[in-house]
Amino acid sequence: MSWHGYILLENLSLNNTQRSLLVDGLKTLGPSSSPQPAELNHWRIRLDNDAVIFEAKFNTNNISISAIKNRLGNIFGIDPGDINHATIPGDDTVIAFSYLAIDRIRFTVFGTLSALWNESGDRARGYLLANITEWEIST
Amino acid sequence: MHGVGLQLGIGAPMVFNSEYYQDLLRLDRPNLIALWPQTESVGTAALNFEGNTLKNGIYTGVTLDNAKFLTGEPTPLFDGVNDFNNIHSAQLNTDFNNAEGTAIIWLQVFNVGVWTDATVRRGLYMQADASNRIFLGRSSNANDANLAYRAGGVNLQTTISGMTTTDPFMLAITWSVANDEVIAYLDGQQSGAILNGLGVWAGALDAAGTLIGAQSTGPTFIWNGWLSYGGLWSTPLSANAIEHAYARAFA
Repeated sequence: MSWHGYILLENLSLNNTQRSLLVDGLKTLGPSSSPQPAELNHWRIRLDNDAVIFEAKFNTNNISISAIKNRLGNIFGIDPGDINHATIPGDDTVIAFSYLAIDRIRFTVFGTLSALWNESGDRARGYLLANITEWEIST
Repeated sequence: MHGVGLQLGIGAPMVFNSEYYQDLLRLDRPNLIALWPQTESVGTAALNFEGNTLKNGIYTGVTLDNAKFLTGEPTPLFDGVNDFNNIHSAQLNTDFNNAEGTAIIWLQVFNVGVWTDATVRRGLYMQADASNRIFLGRSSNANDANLAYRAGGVNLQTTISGMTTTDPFMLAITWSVANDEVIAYLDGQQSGAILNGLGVWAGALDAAGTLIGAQSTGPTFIWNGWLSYGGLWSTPLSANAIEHAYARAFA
């Protein structure tokens, strides 16, 4: 199933190599071509380089909990079944993934996978406004 | 040939100019550097209607043909999150005149809340670095638009207060070292005083900082709404020409 919206990846304790592997992998998601630039995967990196907002027309299989666990399992060289997750309730789908009792990343689907594109965008814009000093440079 | 009129509610039909781009192309044609109407419906290329395809822009993330501009042509939506049109090119850098010029852009906020969201949002932004840049857009202050020419760290900026419109509006800025003048325009009319004391521009245009709809390719300070008809000239257009550029969108 396809879903056009915004997702947020926050690095909680990956090292630089692990973070790059995960981010580079997520950059490949979405259609290889589309008449609409909005549907092609594109991203915005937080000023501290420890979070990324992606937007694309995603295949939801590629941003599922199991898909993220598979990526983390490959990165750590472990069975994805050893990756745990905890869902944080709210208006977005927010999931913290942990390994060896340490939170590694937090993954957010703005507005959940049931959200329309503009609804997901509203959630992403609201998040940016609420965290503006982390995402915008000073003028 | 003008476009078909559209009747909006009670009242006389309004006639929109669907060949507005030709009016702008005729505006001091020898000094036109680039014109990006952003009227595409598909693809990532933002065509330069001046004709040199080396100065085409490249869209990232925008939603093309999301709405219709005053002329009835498609206009793209910039989402305020991660969209921009990178208009930088080696050719643009060659043709850009940092001492004499005009930049225009048509802007429209997504909703009235954009004017009070405390976020800097750029309509058109061109820099060599933070000390040498030109921008048109809004500041982080509520209901303020701002336009600036900064060269050698000397910042000449006009702030236009009280902005609440959710309709398209046109910003323009002219700069002239020869005349020692920077002039800002809103909807074809001069806004604020003529600014004097221009600094000396240094540096080539920044490949990551010459954009429609954002300040950098990070991206940062993304516009939230629609943007159309970004244009650049190598001369300061006259007040009459700026007014003409505005008025012809309604002709």
